[in-house]
Amino acid sequence: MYLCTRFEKKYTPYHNIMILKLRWSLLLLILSALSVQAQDKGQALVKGRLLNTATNEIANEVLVAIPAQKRLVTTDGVGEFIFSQVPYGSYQLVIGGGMMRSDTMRIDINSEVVDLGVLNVSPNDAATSAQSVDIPTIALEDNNVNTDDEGVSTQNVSGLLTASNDPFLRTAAFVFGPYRFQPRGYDRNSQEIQINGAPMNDVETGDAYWNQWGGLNDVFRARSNTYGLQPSDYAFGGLNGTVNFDADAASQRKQTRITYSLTNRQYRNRLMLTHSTGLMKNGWAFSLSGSKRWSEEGYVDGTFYDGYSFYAAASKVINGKHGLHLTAFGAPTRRGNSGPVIKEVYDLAGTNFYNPYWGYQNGEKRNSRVRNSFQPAFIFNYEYTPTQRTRWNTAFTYQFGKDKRSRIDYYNGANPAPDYYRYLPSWMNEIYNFDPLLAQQESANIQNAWRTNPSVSQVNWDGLYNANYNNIETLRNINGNPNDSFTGRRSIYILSDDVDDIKKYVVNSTLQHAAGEHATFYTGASLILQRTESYREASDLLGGDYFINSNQFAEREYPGNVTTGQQDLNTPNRLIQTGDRYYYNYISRFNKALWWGQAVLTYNKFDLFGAVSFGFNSFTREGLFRSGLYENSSYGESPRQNFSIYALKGGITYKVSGRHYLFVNGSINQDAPTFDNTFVSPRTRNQTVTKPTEQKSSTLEAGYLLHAPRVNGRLVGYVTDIKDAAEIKRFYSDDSRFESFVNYALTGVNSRFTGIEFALDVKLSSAFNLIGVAAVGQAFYTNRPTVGIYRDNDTNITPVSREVYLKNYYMSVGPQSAYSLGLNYRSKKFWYANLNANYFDRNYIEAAPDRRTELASFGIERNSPQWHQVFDQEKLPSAFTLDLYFGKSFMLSQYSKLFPRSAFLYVNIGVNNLLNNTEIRTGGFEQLRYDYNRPNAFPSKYFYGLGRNYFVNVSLKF
Amino acid sequence: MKRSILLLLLLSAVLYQSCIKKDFDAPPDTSYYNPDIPVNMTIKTLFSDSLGLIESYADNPVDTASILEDYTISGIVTANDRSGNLYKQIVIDDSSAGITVLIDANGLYAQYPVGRRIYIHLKGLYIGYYRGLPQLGYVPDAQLGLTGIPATRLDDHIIKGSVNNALPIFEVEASEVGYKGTSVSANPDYFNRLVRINNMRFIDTANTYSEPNTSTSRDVLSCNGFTVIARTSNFANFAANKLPYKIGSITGIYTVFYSGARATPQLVIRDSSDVQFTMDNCEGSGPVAGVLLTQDFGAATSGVINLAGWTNWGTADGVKFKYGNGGGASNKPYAQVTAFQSNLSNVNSWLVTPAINLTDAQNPKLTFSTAAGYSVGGTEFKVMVSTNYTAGADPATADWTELTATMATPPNSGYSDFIGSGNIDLSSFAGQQVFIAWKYVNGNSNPAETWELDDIMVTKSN
Repeated sequence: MYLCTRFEKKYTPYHNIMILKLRWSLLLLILSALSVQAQDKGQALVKGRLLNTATNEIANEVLVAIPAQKRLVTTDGVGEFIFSQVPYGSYQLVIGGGMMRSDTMRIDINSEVVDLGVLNVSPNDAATSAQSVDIPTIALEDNNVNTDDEGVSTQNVSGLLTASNDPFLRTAAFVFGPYRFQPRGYDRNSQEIQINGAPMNDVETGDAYWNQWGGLNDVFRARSNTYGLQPSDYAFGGLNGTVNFDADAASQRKQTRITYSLTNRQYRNRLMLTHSTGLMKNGWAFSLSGSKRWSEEGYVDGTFYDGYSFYAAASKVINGKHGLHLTAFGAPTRRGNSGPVIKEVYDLAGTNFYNPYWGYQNGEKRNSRVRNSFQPAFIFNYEYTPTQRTRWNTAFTYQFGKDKRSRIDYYNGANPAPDYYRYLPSWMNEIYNFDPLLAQQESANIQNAWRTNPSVSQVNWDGLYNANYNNIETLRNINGNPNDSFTGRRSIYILSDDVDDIKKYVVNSTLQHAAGEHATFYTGASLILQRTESYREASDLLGGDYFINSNQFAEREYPGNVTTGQQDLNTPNRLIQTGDRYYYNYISRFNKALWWGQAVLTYNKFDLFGAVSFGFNSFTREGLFRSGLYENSSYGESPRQNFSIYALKGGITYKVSGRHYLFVNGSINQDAPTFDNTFVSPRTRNQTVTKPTEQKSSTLEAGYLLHAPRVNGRLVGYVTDIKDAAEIKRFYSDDSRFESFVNYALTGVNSRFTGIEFALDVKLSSAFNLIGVAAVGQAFYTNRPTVGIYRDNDTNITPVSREVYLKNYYMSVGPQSAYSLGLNYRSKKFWYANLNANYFDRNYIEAAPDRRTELASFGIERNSPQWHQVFDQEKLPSAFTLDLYFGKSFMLSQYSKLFPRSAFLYVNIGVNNLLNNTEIRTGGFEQLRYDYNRPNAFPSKYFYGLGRNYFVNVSLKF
Repeated sequence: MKRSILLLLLLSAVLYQSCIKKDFDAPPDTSYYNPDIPVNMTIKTLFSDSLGLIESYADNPVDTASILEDYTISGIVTANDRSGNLYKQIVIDDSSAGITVLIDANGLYAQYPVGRRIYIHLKGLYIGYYRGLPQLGYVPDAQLGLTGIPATRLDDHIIKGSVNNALPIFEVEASEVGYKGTSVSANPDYFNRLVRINNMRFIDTANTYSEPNTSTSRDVLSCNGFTVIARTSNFANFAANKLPYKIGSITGIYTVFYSGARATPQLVIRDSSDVQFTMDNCEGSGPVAGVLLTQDFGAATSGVINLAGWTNWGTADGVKFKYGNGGGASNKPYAQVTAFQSNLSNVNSWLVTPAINLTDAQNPKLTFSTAAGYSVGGTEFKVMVSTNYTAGADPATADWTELTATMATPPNSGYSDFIGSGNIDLSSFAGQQVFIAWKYVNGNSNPAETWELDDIMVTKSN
């Protein structure tokens, strides 16, 4: 029901920031009313009365606002409110704030007097701040995309959901979210994220990286959501809708807030401080916020968290028509990661929270996979509101900074990963297959070592250092200079960083005009220029003196050839020291431009909308290294890759009555493939896949919405077909034709996403609500894509083409069946408690393409046990969880006169997975590497959800 | 405002005190630490009849033995897998004898660099022979060959000691360890030991250390006519290097390979720097046995070539053979000839060797290498042989026969790498005196190809 959520600028207590802005607007309004002004025809008086449902008393001093008109009043002593001179049209009315729960309703103004009658308000469960803001945000920050050794995206949780009062969206966000639920199974990039109207989705992947503003929850509270194909006020929107944050200074309510949180998830502690002036009489507003999130060790062994966040914003509003806003924020964050392993390793370690990435160094835990990112953004907005009907917002954004991901790199050394397959009992069975007893004995020895010796079960840092200490070698012919040589400790193992260093410029302009009582028109255009420098740099030589920039795989492939092994022929035999780039080094440049337009029509029985967008996306790669393998295609700029993009969508809602709504929406679109799926191997060369193609999709969604006094519900069905998608997977191929790293470029991938979303919120009494939610979907491949296999350490650049039998395999998009039943209790005494029982099922692991080829089926009898072992897709076990939330707010002035009336203390507690189920596999993937002769040689890897975990939030506001 | 300042102070205080440490101390360098582990066994005793663990190879070629006692040996690492010539093996020497240690792991050189002392607890390990070579390893496989000590057991059995210990290198005579004619035996005193032999040279200098797809044996011949085999894995990082020409010392692990009752001594070099062939002649006096002529044009880096006994014939100095040192692939001086920028047409330049006496020469062979640049067509570069030429005379006055050799292919721009000619058989000239010439012919002055010539060697097998 798009009309209910379309203007979903929630004036929840933490959102009524806007209201201050409005208060000032009101003043202006009164001033302008004093000036000579003819009474417009088509203006109305709107009035109503508020009743507190908890006490059955009148609700006085409660804020009521019409945000679209920037109008705000407070109810009087008998709970009444009046707006005069409201132009005809359809508006959102926002009630509440402070001690009252805020609510949003849509009103249609089409007569001179509109009496809304008695409206119910309930006391505020301030504690939703824990639920609706903190929990999903944390889930998002936890689930940054990571790429595993095998090139699999290991953390593919969608980060799309944000809080909303819609029972379905709320549940999907903070109940399903931690278990890798992805709404409708769509990609992360299917939701358009804006901050102050500035697009934040990465131009390269389309994903939005929420960690860029992590820890700034206080100032990123005000947000508007749309879901699915609903029209948005801010953008055309993706398949999963839009989120716009109002994070300028004028949108921050006047307050000082101190929050401390204690949790056992990624971090242990969080401290946030925020001070906002609100919009002051002189037209200025300032806001500052800072936070720190930290832990020596998170829930998973060897992880740590060290994050700071900064936010500073200033706004100046001139005569109510011009708003100038400058907003700057950033979150420099370092965190130690964990990674998935195979079942055998979890068993060896004796815990499902085993993390292979850390080890002891001098007795201290050191994590080898550290993510270190700081990409601050500066947004300047010019907001022009010439009339109440017209709003024009232009945002200029500059964002820069680095995102670094560390790992242990090595040249001609033994694999340092403790879970490398040759160090495991299963390998003992392989090599001692002639003597089962011996295999058993060696396995037992390994099991014992894992129990007793962390230098075996974890990264052996001391061993790596000592290997480097001993390795004295001479590097000759440095930089191609025959007279230059260096003798010293050549590091076999180093710690390196994969770095993306971005510079991004964005201009986005949006114009919104309400024409008459029925129609609102939107148009906007954006231009995005981004330059990303991607490279690997040596960050710690681990006790050595230098590292070399050589490709050991190419050297092995071409013995005796002095050039092929060089990663950069422009400076061959470079002496790599800390901070030097090696392996790969290139710039990607993106130009993207887009125009969109939208019309929304509102009538008594029907609401209609239509939207269109088109533009282009183009990019180039410029290699900064001349690779020895690809002398003529690695260095310099590639031809520009141009793609045209467009989208169309529209929908209609039939209002059977004020309580029953039926709607149907549809869309088609065409989008550019990503940079990484266009260039075969961006790290090494300019070669693109044979024919880069735009991806197409079409979607239809339809549903029924119920909005009765005691019952709220929705039943929505959807189907999306995606065609011509491209995906490149990179891994070691055991195919005898390659036996090397390959780029496995799948093109023409078709898939379908279809399912049903159901939610029912029944008010059992004034205190109890029962909420049932179900999301049942199917996301699966619908064809047999073609793969082009490109060797990565070979000068032969011609791909080998194969067919991959993926049709009807499920896509790995989290649980495709998710159910939740929640009981909410809300006390008159300003506390609440929610208990949720959840069930997840039909979570399929990611199918590896190489074992779905004709080659893999060679010699296997169809439908034999072996056949099923190779080709069946594993469904993860279903899971049941219980979550409990509790919150209470205290109005401090009731306890002591020392506090102003605006001082509140909020306490929120959330416990997820109350039953401490530590066996929940939230995701998994078949390793891409596949040995045709030994199908089980490289088993699947799994992610586990956290056991019992909690979040305690104490917030003082004054 | 006061409130904000207070907050800021509070914030900075908290931020400061909760700082998370970022840098890690480097772990201690234990390379020079030597654990005081009691040693109660020697490698020699381990294989001796007195201990009775294992019969000699001659008595029982497939014998292996499990070591059940708490024996510990200690030795210095003399070879490992750094270059890839050894794979999953290291060799140690405890001054009583040497032994090859099989380990099922890669990158052993990082843990066991050459010169490191290591202690091996033998209990639970196995000894045996591979083709007569004593080895230490783990449980025998189905074919009764020892397997490697599993990587997961290494720290139980092998204790690392100090590094940079002096290496026990045995200077031996080729006659002690080599053979003449057909090999039948090897010298067990030096099995698994690092030996150095002087006055050696390769026979097949046109070849590389190893063929691309298989381990390869190359004959190494001493000045006094004894042969040992240099056995090199195709996975060694120097496998594709050209065998050095000239004469000098070769160092390596002395091993044996039995085929039936016939033993072949094989030298496993650890790196190409184990081959120091820098001399033109054998130590002492007289030419090297078997080498009839060598020339690598190392005398100068520029100027017209003028070597005793050689004939450098051309219409002008500008188009005669000159010394060159263009760096590049060879990175050492060579001979170069070109008509480029000479403004001469019909250039016809010759470089002729001194007379070479093939009397009594068995299997005489010629090898050399060439590089070329700037292909234009119309330029000819050939190697010829004559039996009736007079040194210093106009080559046109003699009869010349062209020899078939592998020549470089000039690229359109820039220079090719030096490539070997292959072995050019001169046996049809055996018993005669020959001159060998390289002939450069170019019709036009400009453009013209440039040819480079190096590492000429004429040998015989006796």
